[in-house]
Amino acid sequence: MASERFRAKLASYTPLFVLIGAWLLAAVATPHFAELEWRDGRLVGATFDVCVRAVPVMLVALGLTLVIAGGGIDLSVGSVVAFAGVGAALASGDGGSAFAAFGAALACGVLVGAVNGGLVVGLGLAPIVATLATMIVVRGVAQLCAGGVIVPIDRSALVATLGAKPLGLPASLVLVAALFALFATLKRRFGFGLYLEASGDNPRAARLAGVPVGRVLFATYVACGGASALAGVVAASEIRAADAASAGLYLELDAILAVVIGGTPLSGGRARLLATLVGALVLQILATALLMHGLAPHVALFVKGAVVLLASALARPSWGRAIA
Amino acid sequence: MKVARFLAERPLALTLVVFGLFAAFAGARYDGILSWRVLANLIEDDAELGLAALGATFVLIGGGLDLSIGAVCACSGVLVATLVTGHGVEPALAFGCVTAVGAAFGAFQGWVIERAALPPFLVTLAGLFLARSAALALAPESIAVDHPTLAALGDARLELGDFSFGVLGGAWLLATLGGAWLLALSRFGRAVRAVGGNPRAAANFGLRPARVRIALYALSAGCAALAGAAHVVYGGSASAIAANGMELDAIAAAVIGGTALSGGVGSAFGTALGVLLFGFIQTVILFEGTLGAGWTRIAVGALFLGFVAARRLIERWARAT
Amino acid sequence: MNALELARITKSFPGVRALDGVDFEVRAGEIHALVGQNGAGKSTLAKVLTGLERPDSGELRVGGRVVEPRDPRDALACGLGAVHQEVDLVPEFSLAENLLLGREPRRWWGIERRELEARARAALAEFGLDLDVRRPAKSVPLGVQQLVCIARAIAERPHVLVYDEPTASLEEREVERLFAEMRRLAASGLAQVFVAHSLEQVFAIADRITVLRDGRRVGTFEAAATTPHAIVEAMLGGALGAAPVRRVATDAAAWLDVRALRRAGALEPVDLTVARGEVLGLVGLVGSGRTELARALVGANDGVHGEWRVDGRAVRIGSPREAAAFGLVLSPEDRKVDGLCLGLTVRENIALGAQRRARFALQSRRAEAELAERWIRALGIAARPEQRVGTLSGGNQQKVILARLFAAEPRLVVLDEPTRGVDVGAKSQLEARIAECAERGLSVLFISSELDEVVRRARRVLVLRERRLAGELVDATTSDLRRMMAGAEASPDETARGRGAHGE
Repeated sequence: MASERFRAKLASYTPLFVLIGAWLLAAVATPHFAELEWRDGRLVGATFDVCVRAVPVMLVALGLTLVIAGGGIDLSVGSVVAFAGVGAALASGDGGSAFAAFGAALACGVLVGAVNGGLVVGLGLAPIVATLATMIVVRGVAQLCAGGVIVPIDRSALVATLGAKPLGLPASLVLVAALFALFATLKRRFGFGLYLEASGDNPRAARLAGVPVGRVLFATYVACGGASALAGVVAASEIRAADAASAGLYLELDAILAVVIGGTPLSGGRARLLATLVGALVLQILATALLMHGLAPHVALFVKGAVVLLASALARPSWGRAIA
Repeated sequence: MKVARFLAERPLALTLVVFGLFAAFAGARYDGILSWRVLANLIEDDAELGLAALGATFVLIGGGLDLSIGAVCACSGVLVATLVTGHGVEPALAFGCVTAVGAAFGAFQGWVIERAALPPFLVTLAGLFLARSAALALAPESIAVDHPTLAALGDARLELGDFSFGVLGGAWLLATLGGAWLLALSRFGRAVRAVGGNPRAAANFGLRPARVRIALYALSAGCAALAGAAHVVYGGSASAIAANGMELDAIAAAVIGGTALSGGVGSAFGTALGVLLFGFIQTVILFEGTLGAGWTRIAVGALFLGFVAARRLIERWARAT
Repeated sequence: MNALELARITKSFPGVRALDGVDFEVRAGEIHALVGQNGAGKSTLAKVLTGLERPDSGELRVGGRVVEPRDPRDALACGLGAVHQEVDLVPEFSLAENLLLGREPRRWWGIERRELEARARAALAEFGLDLDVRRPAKSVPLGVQQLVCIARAIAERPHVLVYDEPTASLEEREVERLFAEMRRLAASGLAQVFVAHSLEQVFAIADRITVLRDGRRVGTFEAAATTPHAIVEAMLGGALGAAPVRRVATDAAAWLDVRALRRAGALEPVDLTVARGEVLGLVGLVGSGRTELARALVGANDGVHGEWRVDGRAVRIGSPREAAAFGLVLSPEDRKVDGLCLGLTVRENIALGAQRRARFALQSRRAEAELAERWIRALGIAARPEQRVGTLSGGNQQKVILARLFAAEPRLVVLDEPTRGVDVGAKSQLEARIAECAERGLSVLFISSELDEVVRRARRVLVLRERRLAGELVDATTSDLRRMMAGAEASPDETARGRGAHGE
């Protein structure tokens, strides 16, 4: 019995081991990968780069973890990233405050999330269908709002805010930590997690047990929209421009991949937020290491494709056995 | 209530009505948009998407989903270009080659889906990555294809008065006819519709749902590969980043053409109509001149969503009465 | 000669012997009903006959020939046709396509539609059905769809046709139509096996009746020479006797009063009242509407109508969540499908019950764990709080559901077959817990197929029959209940008392 418990505990740390393994592999195989130094009041090094570059995927994947835990899926996150980026860029133009930019972006994300939630919960459409449609529409709306051009956000308060380095850490990483803390608290402390995991595991039983399944699932889509909006702000401020046509393109794939590597089952019933962050980092380590080897980006694409299949195929039987 | 039942049983009716309204609106607004020339161009321009959407229709009818269509299309375009320019292979042979490779790739995806019991969207997502990276590995840069046969193919026209018909349009038309025959009159088509409509009943009556679905993914990827070949003929070049997001357009066109995402319902002609509507919207936006690319997406996405939601509501309505 | 013979058929599932050496034979031209309680093995037997399950041992002979059907298609080829409870049609296909699925007439250019339709029309005409065969299956009523299923099965010229609860979703008129068809087929010499819940229907149609209990054949009866009473006796395994009904009124006042609880096609209007600290029994054969009543009471199904009064105040209950707000909670019949989140832990499943009261107040995992541990101890659940519920035995799973219900601090717990699939030791523990709760003032609605459990725990028992309230008995014996379940008429004054005792 003790060994069974130990094994279960061990299994829940698998993503962490994978992360360490990936980092070691990258460090051994790649010159300069493991170097990390303090220069001009900030950290410099590939490991640090990995963390910063993974921010948009981490933010999106945190939101997506909630949706997937509830047994759903959200394909529109990439478009929301673009839409929110445009929103933030427009709001921060003409000397708008960073607050206004974040507010505009969040409003965009929450709106799309509410539409997704309404289509899935209210109209009863399959999540994949509903969010596929919003994915197409929202990118169009983003392009429309941007007026068909790339909206620059040079010198605005937003770039200054996200460029700030509290404690030598970039603000975007602080944002990830904050969102994680928020979701983790909601999940752990307010019983939302219990409702969510019950709804994803067995919606019929959850309904009979008095869980407001519809409202819970609706909330996950809204949260995912909000999280994607934050990712949109970060992505836009990184390149100092909001590109409605290509921002967040295929980001939904990376985010789903991060969730899968983190061990959140696609069939729902479990939300593993920390493991999702780990999954996003693993992906970014792979991409960065391959890039440092001078390999073309398409190799990373290939590796990702192979990882999706392996991770999901491996995750499946263990889950199946656990409930049998 | 008769209306509800009529609409519930004939999904294409809604498409036709929307198409008609749209055409009437466009005809009243722009001179010359309702002409044979515009229609001929529409058919020629949309052949590539039309071929891909035909494959997507089959997969959707069978209850699956294929997100790798765009990537397979780009990959096969690059493969054709490499074979023809790099290795001097005859275009016809190259077309056959890529179609076979595409079909094999699709069958592999289907096999993984059925064998590992994974969600189709996940496996075909991985397929998207794999095909896209294969395309980039083959050709990091865009390849210009210069071959007399291809050039001749691209220029060949069948003039019928104002209406001129190119090779691509012809290929699409033939493929659509073939698809329609397959769906309506062949045993395979019947199996596809049965498996998508009620897998349990299909299995009870001797069909093998897993095999049918694997064949569907092969068919879909084969169609996408043909679309890639069409891309080369149409544009005279191939690029690994071409056909980005084409899978969404293909699925949207199929749904607008009356295919149900829940499986079991759909038709090849409906999808062709959906693709034409898709192209027509683009043409109108082009005629308008000042509208950006955003409007195309919004219009297509809204139509897609509108059709899905309308079907759901009509079904509820028909059941209630 | 017999059209179908089964010899010593045995089929085991992990932990259960579903069929234990069953012999069974059906004559040509006969309608042979197969009845039994839930878990008696009749659906397993039907699955063996239709190729959905392969027996562990035993012999199947169709028309004297030994067959071993591997799957439904193979069963059909062996001469065993099937009509399932769920209509086996492709909803989008036309009736013609459905009728000839897999046997379409073909030409060089593919399927010959006109001939397909002509053949389909002929097949339906043979059935006395005049339908437009080009209409999609989903557009005709369920009863007609079921007839099309039969027509399709018949078209394969089977020796035996097996009906697995074909009337479950049909309306009364449609059932009559189906029976007329079955009689016509019997007259043409077809052997038919009819698996059903409703004894009324069984006696309306069957020539012979075979009763199964606990995976064994109890006996085969000529329908004309037996009574529903005798069949129920055989199903339940005990003499019904003729003990008189004792009439004792219960004393405590009712706090819950439900009037005209009903759902179209599933439950005829039922009135019921519950007193504080009362264990109210609810019995009926499977299909009598008892599960429907349990679910309706807590708003678990759509389309339920009725008037609830809690402590004399009229309330509206439209969902289990609203029901829980008034203290009404349900332990559903199928605990794996409706009862538990199998992938979640014991702690989480129990905490789910307490969550609604806590609203979105701050929760700590420690508090949840303490709650879980308290209930694990109180109910004697053999599990750790962090164990997944899916890994527990049936008895422990049932206790986890009880813990969840109790953690919600309810006023009435509705227990639908809480002791099914639970071993004997756990059963008596469960019963004892239920009794304890009642002593503390909790009301219990106790539904069970095990009548001795019911009479041990419940003074007042409601009996449902054919989706209607057949009557109410106080301090009844199991034989009283059996008689009423079987349809023996209660004396008029008895029924009047049953209805009136708690109403005013």
